[in-house]
Formats: sequence, C-alpha cells, structure tokens
Amino acid sequence: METFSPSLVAFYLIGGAAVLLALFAVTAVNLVRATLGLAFSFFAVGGIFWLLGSPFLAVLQLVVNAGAIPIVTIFIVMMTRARSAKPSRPTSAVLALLVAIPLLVATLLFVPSPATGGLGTTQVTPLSVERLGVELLSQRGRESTLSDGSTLTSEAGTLIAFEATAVVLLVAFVGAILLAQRTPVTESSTERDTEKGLADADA
Amino acid sequence: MLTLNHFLGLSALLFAVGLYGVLTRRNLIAVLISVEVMLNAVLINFVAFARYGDNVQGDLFALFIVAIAAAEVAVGLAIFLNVYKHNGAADTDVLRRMKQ
Amino acid sequence: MSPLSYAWLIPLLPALGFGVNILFGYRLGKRGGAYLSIGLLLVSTLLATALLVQVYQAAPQWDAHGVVEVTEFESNVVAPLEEEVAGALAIGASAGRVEAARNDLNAALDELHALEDAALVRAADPRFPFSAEIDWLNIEGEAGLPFGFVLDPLAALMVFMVAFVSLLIHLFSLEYMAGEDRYPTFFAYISLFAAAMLAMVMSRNLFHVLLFWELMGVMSYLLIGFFYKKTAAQQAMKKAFLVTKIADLGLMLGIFWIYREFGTLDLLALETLAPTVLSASVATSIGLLLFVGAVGKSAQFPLHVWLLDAMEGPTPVSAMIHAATMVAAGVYLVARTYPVFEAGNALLTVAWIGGFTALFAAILAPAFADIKKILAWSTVSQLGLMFLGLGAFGWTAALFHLITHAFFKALLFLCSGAMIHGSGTQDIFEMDQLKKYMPTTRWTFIIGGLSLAGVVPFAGFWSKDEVMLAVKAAVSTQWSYALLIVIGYGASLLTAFYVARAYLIAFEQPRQDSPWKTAAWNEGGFGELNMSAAEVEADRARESHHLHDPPHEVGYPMGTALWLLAGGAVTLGLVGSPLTDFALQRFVYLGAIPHLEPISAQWLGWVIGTAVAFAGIGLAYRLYREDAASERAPWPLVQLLQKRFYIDHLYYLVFAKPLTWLTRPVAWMDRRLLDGLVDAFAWLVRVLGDVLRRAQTGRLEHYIWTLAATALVLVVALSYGGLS
Repeated sequence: METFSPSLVAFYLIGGAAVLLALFAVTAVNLVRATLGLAFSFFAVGGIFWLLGSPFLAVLQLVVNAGAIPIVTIFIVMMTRARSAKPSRPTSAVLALLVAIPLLVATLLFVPSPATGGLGTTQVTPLSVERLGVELLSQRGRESTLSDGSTLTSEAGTLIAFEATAVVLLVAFVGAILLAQRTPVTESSTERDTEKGLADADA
Repeated sequence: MLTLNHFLGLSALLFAVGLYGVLTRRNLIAVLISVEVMLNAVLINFVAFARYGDNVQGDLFALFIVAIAAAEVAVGLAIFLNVYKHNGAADTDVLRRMKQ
Repeated sequence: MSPLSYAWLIPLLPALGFGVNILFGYRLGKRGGAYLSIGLLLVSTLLATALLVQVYQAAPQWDAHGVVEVTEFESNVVAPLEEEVAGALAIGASAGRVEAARNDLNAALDELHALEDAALVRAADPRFPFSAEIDWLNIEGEAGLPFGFVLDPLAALMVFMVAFVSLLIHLFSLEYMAGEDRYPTFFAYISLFAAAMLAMVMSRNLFHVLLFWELMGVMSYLLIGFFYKKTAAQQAMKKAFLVTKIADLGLMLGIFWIYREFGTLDLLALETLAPTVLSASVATSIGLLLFVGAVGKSAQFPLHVWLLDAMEGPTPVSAMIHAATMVAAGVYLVARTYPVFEAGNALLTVAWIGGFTALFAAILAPAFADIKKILAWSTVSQLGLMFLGLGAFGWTAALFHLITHAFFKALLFLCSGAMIHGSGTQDIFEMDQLKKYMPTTRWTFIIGGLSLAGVVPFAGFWSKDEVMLAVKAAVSTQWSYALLIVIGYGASLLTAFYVARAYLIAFEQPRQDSPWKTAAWNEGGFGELNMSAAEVEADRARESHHLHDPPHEVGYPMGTALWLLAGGAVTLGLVGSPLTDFALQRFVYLGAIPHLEPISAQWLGWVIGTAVAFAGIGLAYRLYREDAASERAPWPLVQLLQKRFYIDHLYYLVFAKPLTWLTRPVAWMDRRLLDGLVDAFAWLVRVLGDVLRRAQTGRLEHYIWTLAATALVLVVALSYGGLS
C-alpha cells in the first residue's frame, strides 16, 4: 500500500504534464506549437530528473533539450515555412495505436511489481554534481580529493569518451553546416520535375 | 512512497507516445520531435535505474545521450533543410526513393 | 664495445634490403634497389669483420709450439697409460698393479695440465663466448624458446665468410642480371637468402636455427625458379623444395627429441648436457636424425638429386647456394650439434656418407659438358669431403674446408657465370678458346681450379690436407677409416681431373659441336622424367641460344668480384698452414684446447695430396690437350654417368609416380566436391539476395513500421518470457 507523500504528488503532477505535453507535441498540426509542446515536455522531464536526485542532469536537460534543441527546431521551421505539417492518415493512426498500446502494456507488465520486492523499493541516492564531475572527467581508478577533503576513487572514468564526444559534436556541427549550406540542385528544374514524376509513378 | 516503478511506468508511457508520433507523422520535423520524446523516455530509464541503484554509470550514459542527441538534431535538421531545398517539401512521402 | 651491441645488425641489414626491394624496388630506378642491397650488405660485411676481430681478440690465445707439445704428449704418453689402466682392469690384475698404473696416469695428466697451462698465452675474455638472449616464446613450466645470439669463433668465422662471399655475389649480380625484368625481385631474394644464413649461424637456439634454415629453403625455392616461365625451372624448384623438406623432417624430429631429452634447445647448454644426459643409443639416433637434415640441405647421397636441377636458377644463385649459404648450412648444423654426435656413434655413418658422396660425385662430374653441372657435382663432392672430415673427428678441418671451399667455389661459379655471359652458352664444348678473349676470367678460373684441385699453396690444398689428416688420425679408432683415406684421395684425383678438363675444353679448345648434344642416347636430355616433350621443346625455344662471336670479357663489377674472391682462394688457406703457425686451428676448435699435429706428421700428406692433384691434372692434360671431342669412354658408361646412375629415375618411379596417382582422387575431390560446394554457397547467396532485395522498398515509412513491429514482437516475447 502506497503512503501519501509530497514527492509522490510532485511526481504525478510533473509526470502527467510531461506525458500530456508530449502527446500534444506529437499530434499538433502546427509545427511551432508542436515544438513548444516538446520544449515544455522536456522541461517537465527535467523536473523528473530533479526528483530522481540528479540536479546536474536536470539543469542539462533544461539547457540543452528544453532550451537549445527547440530553438534550433523553430528556426528551421520558420526558415522553411513548413509551419503546418500534413495531417496524419486515419488508418496509420489506428495502426500506430495498435502497435504503441500493446508495446506499452507489454512494457508495463515487464516491470517487476514492488510487492515482489523487485527493483522498485529502495530509496533514491542523490548524485552530487561534484561526484558526477569526478566520474566524468577522470580516468578509472584515479583518486580525486573532493571539496570537503574526502577522497573519491573514480569507478567509471569516462574522460576519453568525454573527449571523443566533444569531437563527435564538432564533426556533427561542421557536417550539419556543410549539409545545410549545399546549394540545391540547380542544373535544371525539369530534372526535378522528372524525378517527381517518377516518384509519383512509383506511388 | 515513490518507487522505481513509477519512473519506469512514466518512461514507458512517454516512449509509447513518441512511438505513436513517429508512426503517424508525415512531416520530417514532426518525426524528429517524436524521436526526441522517445529519447527522453530512455533518459528517464537510465537515470532512474542509476539513482535507485546508486550506479553512476547510468547518469554518465544519460549525459552522453544528451550530447549525442544534440549532434543528432543538428545533423537531422540539416538533412531536413537539404531535403526541403531539393524537393520543396519535407514529408516522408518524398523520401520514397531512398532505394536509389 | 661488446660485439653483441652491433651483431644483430648483421642479418638485419640484408633483411632490410629485402623489405625495401620487395616493396619499393621497382620505384627506385633501374638499379637503385640493387645498390641499396649491396650497400647494406657492405655494412654487414664490415660489421662481420669487426665481429671476427673482436671475437678473435676475446678468444683464448695459444702458443703453437705449446699446443703441438700438448698434442704429442697426449698421444705418446697419456694415451698408452690410459690403455694400460684399462688393460689392467680388463685382465683383472692385482690391486697393486692397477693402483700403480693409475698413479702413473695421474702423474702424466698433471704434467699434461702443466703443459696446457704453459701453452696458453692469454686466457679468454670473461665474456667469451659472447651470447645474449631475450624472451621470445615463453611456455609455462618449460624452458621456452628465447631468441638469442651466440658469437663464438665458429659463428664469427661463418658470419664473416657468408657476408663477404654474399657481398661479392651481389656485386657480380649487379652486372650479370642487368638484362632481367625482375631485377629488384632478384636482389630482394638473394638479400633475404644471405640474411637467413647470417641469422642462422648466429642463432643460439636450435629452434631458430630451424626457422632460418627453412627460410633459406624458401628463398632457394624462389631463386631456383627465378626463370619461372621455363618448365624446367618450375620442376627444379619443386624438386629442390620437396627433397630438402623430406630431409627437414628428420631434422625436426631430431630437434624435438633433443628438447625431450634436455628440456631446452639452447645450443650452449647442448655442449654441457650432451655428454652427461644422453645415452649412447639415444645420442646416435638423434645424431642420425639431425644428419638426415644435413644430408638433404648439403645434397649428400642419397638426397643429392636436387642440386643438379637447381642449376636452372641464375648463376649467381648457384654461387650463393653452393658457396655462402644453403649447402654450407648442413655442414654448419652438424658442426654446431657436434656434442650430440660425439656422445653417440653416428659419426662413422657421417664419414661414410661423406666419403661415398665425395667419390660418387667426383666420378659423375667428368661426364658432363655443362659447366654449371660440372661445378654442381664438384660441390656435392667437396661437401662430401667436409662430412668425411666431420665424421673423422676433424671438426676444425671440416670447417676450414667449408670456408676455403666457399671462396673458391663461389669464384668458380662466378667464373662460369662470366663464361656463360661472355660466350652465350653453358656447354664447355661450344666455348671458343676463351683464353684469347677473357683474360680475367681465365686467370681467376685457373686460381679457383687449382684451389679446388688442391695444389700448393692454394686454399683448397691446406684445408683438404687437414681433412685427410683427420681421417688418417681416425684410423686408430676404427679400421674402416683406412678405406676412407683411399676414397678421399680417389675423389681428389678425379676432382683435379674434371676441373682441368673443364678448363682445357672451355678455354683452350676452339668451338666444336658438343658430343653430348649429338649423342643418340641423349635425345631429350634429362627432361623426359618430369616434363613432356612439348615442354622440353618450349624451354629450348625460349632459351634461344645465340652464341657470342667473339666472346667478350666481363665488366668492372664482375671483374672486381672475381679478383677479390681469387684473392681469398689464394691466401685464405695460409691461415691454416705452417706459415701462420696454424692460426685458424688455434682459433676455431672443439673442446678445451686446440689440437695440432707436428709438421713431421703432416708432410707426407702434403706430398701425397700434391702428387694426387698433379696426377689428375696431368691425366686431363693428356686426354684433352689435343682432341677434346672424341669420346674417351664406351658410351654405355658415359650414358650411365649422364643419367646419374639412374637414381633420379628410380626415385621418380618409386616415389613420385605412385604419389601422383594417389593425389588424383584428392585433386578430383578438390575440383568437383569442394569447389562445387563453394559454388553452391555462392549460388544460394545470390538467390537469397534476389529475394531479400525486394524487401528494400526505399520508403521511409516502411522502414519505420518494420522497426516498430519488430520492437513490439521483441518486447512481447521478452515480457512473456520474463513473466512465465
């Protein structure tokens, strides 16, 4: 039997908001609205992270996922004047529900019940930013001295992965710029037309 | 009491929502948005398991996913832009010639 | 500076030459790769010289007269006393008499030690012999196979000889091979050939000896078949490889057995372990197995069959195989593992195989008209002499002969190369009074020939005499060595005869039709065994003999190589002669102290050796001075010799043919069954691909739906499994 607690209330409020906003984001015809829905859904997920005791990830979620990504997306939407998306086909919506709902049910069934003493009963252990930093920016087995004077031995040590990710980001951004800059095929519009014609014929 | 199962359930819900979006949307940006929702579901899963088991690797994984997702969005949007410039529209319908 | 600090470079530099030539040889210009190879080998040779000097300085120095005294005292005083003690024990004499004899013996031994101490001028450097090893292959609970060098007098001498002779052969090839398309490849191969031999003689571990031994086998295979478009070359390369591989089986078994007995393959440990650990019968067996390997590599009877066919390779390769590398490896192997042979009774076999081969090959050589084949038989014969020396406890003598032989045989082969180069034929009868046109070649050939014949004071004389001296000394241990003395001198007589014959016909006589080519029984040459008539014909057409008229002399690179080798052939024997107080014998020896016979015991051998050599030369002069073409022997005998006593035919019928039949069903299975299976798989994959190709619609939605449906199936399946 579940005891009532403030954190439980917060969870249902924030989680419900996240799901509803996500639902809005994936169904809204207007792409700007959809993006906004996504941004707020991300915002709520940031709250979930807070509840989970991971403040750094919560902030990161706000900055990157709720902040940067929607902004870029909105820019693109405005640049392309493709503000409203084509509405979904009713048949595909039904089919999608037929896939998504069984998946959801199956997943929920797969989660072990708290009553059986599975995974869900222990308490959350908050993760300090300092500890996350040590783990992220050192090598495995390296000892670091924390601000309170205690020492911490890194158990993951993802410094190399961190650097590699930085390179991946750089490459992705350079690649994105190159891709976006490429001028459209200008040899002839007829070629595009024939291509379109072919595509139609295909359909 | 707030348990791990709550978060896993939330994650599953978000995932299903995102999946529904990916399957139904025809606009490429909308598909991208749906994919982002699914990614967030996964993030919640990682962090929840990590915090309930006090295993820092889950948090680190989530962190890297956020970074890589940012890169993915950048490239995805660039591709979208290119497709749009090329075809004048950016729906999944126009990408039916991927075979060639 | 310890020689260990640079010794490893000696084999490595030619190996580097191989690497560069094989990878970039064709981009380095026409001769760039060749110059590089020669340059690297020159550095190797200089290092080898430094190594020889340093090892000589580090080795113990003995006073020649003192050593002679020790030897005399040992044979005149100690040996009879030992016999007396043994005799007294055997007849069961009274304790007092045995005791008295023992006391006498002990006193004599003390005196012997005093004499030995007196003969020692300077003791060895504490680091001598230089050796080092690094971990290479470690096996838990075993000695493993550390990679190491041992730089003792034997290794130093061999390294010097191999590097120097290889260098000159490289130099010779620079001009000789100039017209070839695969010039860089050739230099790559002979560089690695030299590197393998250099590494082998320095190796401290028998396993690495085997490793480099096999590497040489591969390089000889590639080089013999260098003119791979000729069917004869293809057959020859296969024959050489297969015959030596059969022998290598014996060698490998011997090495395995040594490891089983000793638990190590360290050659330094072998010297101390062999006399103590091995029983006589085991030592004999191991020795014979090792000797089988040596017989194959050094082309001794009955595995001599590959060497003559190996003449299909370019002439510098023949020089390389016959002088510096390959065949010398067999002698080196027996010399290196000599403690095993001493512990058993295999040496008599070694001596008899060697002696028999020496005579056998010397009998065959005069029946051939191809200059390279004459020299090939000569090599077989001379290697037989070396094994005779080894078998007669003449360790130093055999190595001495190995070194001098390397020089004069390389010289003779390079001369033959020059003759072929200058005249356009290999047949001595077709060579047209070469003395008029090729003075350098002529005089160097004379020097090499006299050295081979064993004429005072050329190198071959001194070393051959040392071998015969060892055989004479061995008579006291076994009566049958007396017979081997006769055989040895018989071989020497024939040696002098055939080399003089070759000289007279090639250099003195005008061109004439080769009697061997026109002889009715020689139709088709030797090729009919493993080649069809059409293939023989094709080879002949490809060779397109065009005789040079008139013959021309060699250029500077070849001439330089010839004169340098001739210098060795003249002077090298002196290091083992009374003129230097037998410096070589005092440097390279087995056991604690060198063994030197007094000159009074040697002069008879010199007289006999010289007499035999002049007899052979005189006989050739009488027979061939005037009229060379007419046959001197009844043709069935000549035919028998030309067909090499039909030994190759015998092997072909007994081994090769049945094996070919055996392989037919296997070949059929390979072609039909296995290839068919592979084809079937290819067909299956193609059909499957055709089917699966249709699944790729190229439409994004289809892919997404497939993905989602798969995920659903997976999750349902997993959750069902998880719940049950």
